[in-house]
Amino acid sequence: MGQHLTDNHQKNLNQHPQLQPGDFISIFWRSGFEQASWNYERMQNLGFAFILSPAIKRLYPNKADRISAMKRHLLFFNTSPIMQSLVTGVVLNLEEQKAAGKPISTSEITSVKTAMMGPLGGIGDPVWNGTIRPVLSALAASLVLSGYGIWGPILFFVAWNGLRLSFRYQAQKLGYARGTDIINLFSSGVLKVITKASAAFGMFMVGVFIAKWVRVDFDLGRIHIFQHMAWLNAYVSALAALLLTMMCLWLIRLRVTPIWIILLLFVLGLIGYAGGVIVV
Amino acid sequence: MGIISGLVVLAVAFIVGMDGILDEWQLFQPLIACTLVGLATGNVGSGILLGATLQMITIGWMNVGAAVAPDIGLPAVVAALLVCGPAAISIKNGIAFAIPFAVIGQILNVFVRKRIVRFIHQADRAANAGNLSKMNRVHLLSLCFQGLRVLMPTLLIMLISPHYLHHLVNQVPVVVTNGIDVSIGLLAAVGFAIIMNMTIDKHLWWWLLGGFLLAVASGLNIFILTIIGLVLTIIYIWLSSRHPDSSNDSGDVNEQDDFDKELDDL
Repeated sequence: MGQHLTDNHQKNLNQHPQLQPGDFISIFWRSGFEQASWNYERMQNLGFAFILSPAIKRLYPNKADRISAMKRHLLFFNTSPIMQSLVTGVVLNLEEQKAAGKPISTSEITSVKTAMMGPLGGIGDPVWNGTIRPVLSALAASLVLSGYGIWGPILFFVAWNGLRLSFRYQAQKLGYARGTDIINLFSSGVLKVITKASAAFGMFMVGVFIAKWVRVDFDLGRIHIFQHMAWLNAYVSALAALLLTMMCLWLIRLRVTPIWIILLLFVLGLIGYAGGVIVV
Repeated sequence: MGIISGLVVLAVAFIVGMDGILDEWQLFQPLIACTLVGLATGNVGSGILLGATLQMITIGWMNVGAAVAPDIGLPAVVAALLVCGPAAISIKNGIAFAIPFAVIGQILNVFVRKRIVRFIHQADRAANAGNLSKMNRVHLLSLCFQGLRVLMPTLLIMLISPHYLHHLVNQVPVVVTNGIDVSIGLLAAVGFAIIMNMTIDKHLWWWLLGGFLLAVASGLNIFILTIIGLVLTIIYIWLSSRHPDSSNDSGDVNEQDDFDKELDDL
């Protein structure tokens, strides 16, 4: 496929504009601004068009073609931001073929975008926001609290952005090289394995975080019959932390918004302390 | 606070507001935002500490799909300004201040996301005219509004006399201050519940319980536990790829072959 494409490009070199190395870099840089105009009407639509605009400029010097390219990329779009680079790559491949005269319709390009954004959103949010970011930021915060100061924020920034930028770069490249063949990746099960691994690791770490950071410190010594069982304090507190988290999960499933749960916990903390049940 | 450091704090607020919607560089995460405000006000030590404490609370707060979570950037900047700036309130009071600003930031974010629809219609007109650079300008202008979303409230807080704020916080009874401290310990549960809500299913509960019990029983530090978690995950994936039949969600034989092939490619 790749070879075939290259041949095609050679043939069309003189008649049709092609994407230049600089365009890919510019598009890669722009990919970090995808959500700037996130809106309730078409979500990331303008973001996608913004990212693609160096390619639109290069491929469609003719005004009518340019207008229709701009319009088709201002349609509804929403996915997990970092995963979007894969969609960009595939679309760049399609747009370049279209500009070279291949019979690719607007609705084909739109349906490729639509077909990719759902599954990628379903992978991207849990992997990046549900696992990688919580784990990295937790490790960084722990570094700070164990006395490494500024190294915590620096390592978090470098690690996250290193992963994010290299992923975006590679995904854009891969999407462009493979074009619509990338759909095979969706059915191959690799993405399923990644999701499964990230979910297992993420949940393991959430278990660790609950044990380490949700603090419900009961003072059993205050209750007469527990006076000689102070060693139990740590275990009772840990159990309470787990139950508290499960209560929050239950409330979220009941569609109580996080803000109300936060306010509830504030009140609970105040009452718990004032009543002498929970200690600082 | 001098004019220069005030301006730098406002610049940080603007950048945090922009990155808060972009969700790319993570400058809006408390760990980084509070550190930057700390640097600007010449009080980086308390900025970093506040950031780490606030980070643990906000760790799971995320926008999934179109749902807007409590805001992270605005409370991080405001709390850091109050803690590191001339008001010099304590870290736990700073966190108590952060919570209402998480609500305010969320409301403002929803407001801006609605108003940007107008810009989208301008972009449509730019597209009808084939005017790419105008379309790009509209996009970046939207970003500036998201920056102002954090900058404006920060500016308002800056204009309140720090002595008054300091005095106000000192009026709070000790019972309430200590109660807030207890609450801070509880708050992290919400973020973890948000992550669980997105991911957890029946067999993942065992992973969660495993991590929890190992952490409680062993008392190992979080870095070692992370490595153990990674190793267990790798073993799990290795085992489930060797015994495809034991996994419920694996499909037919063809799918399995493709999957093995892709794994070899990796």
